[in-house]
Amino acid sequence: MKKTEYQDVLRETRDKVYSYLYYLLKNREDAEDITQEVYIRLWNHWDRVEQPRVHAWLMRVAHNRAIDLIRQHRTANTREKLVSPIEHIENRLAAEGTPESVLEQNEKQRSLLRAMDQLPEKTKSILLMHYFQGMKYKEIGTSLNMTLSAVKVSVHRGKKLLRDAMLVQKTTVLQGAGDGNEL
Amino acid sequence: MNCETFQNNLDGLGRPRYRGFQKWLMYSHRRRCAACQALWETDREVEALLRQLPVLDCPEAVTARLSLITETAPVDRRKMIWSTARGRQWAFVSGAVAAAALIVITVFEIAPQQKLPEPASYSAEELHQAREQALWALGTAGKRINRAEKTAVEQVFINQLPKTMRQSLKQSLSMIKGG
Repeated sequence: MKKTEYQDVLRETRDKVYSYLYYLLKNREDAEDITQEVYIRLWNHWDRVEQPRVHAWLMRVAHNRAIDLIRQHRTANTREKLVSPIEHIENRLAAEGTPESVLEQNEKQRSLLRAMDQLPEKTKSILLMHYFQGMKYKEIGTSLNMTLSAVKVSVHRGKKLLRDAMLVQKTTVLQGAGDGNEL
Repeated sequence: MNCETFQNNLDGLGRPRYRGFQKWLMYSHRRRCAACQALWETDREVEALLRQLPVLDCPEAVTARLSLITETAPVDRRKMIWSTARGRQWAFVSGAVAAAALIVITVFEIAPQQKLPEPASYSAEELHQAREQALWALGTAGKRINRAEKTAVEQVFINQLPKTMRQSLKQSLSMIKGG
């Protein structure tokens, strides 16, 4: 019984957890290792995890382990070497619609990922949990042991930074196009 | 509504009590303010892009390994405590606390109950003898220390000097000592 339930949870959540870790850590091997660790821990603590909250539990463990790893990397000065995950997900970006719209959508995704690199890890994690994982503010608060208002403020700050970065990128693109026309 | 309030409300930081009314106020504000309109559009775009980030497939190797662990026997909690760093830490801390408690109990509860030996009493003659012995030992030790000091000074300082200088120094010393 335990085995079947575990397999179901694994099947339903593994891709989302792996993607979340990948976007947060920007490294495939690290994301794989932590995904594995998270699910081993789930198996070991299965009896103690409340089934309706299993997703929030997984996200909490994944977040904590990822932040630990980022700190370790930062101490060892190896984090800066990592690049944004754009290259790895290139083939997973939008592939539907007219070629122009696909190109435009892909460019926007790339801009977003580049802008996300500038965010603090915790803020990035909260944004991913809310928008990418579809978790509610309250769930995020429970997962990360934060108050509701602290989660809201983090989302606000993160989105503000992303908006500003996107606006700057848009302006640069428009200026570039303007210069091209003048020439 | 000003631009600052508009930006705060954009992320739901405004008062939720007036949600409907505020929505209308925000709508009318962005119709008048091009900057806020651009901000609003970018905000929607950012949200949509975050929601549409591609979901990556967890590698098959990881899934296979994770499926394998379900074949393992249930985890023995006692063994697990020793297998993790935190478990070992907890065990160490618990042991240390238990040891400290044992020491406190021994010192404050058991030790005061034990009777200390009665102070010994000595006669005046025995005390005099002991004093004499102690003075003799101190005198001998003092002499030996003086001798060792003299030898050390000779070896380290005087013997390093050239012969002529050593001789003149010895003569000067004897003159000084002689008065």
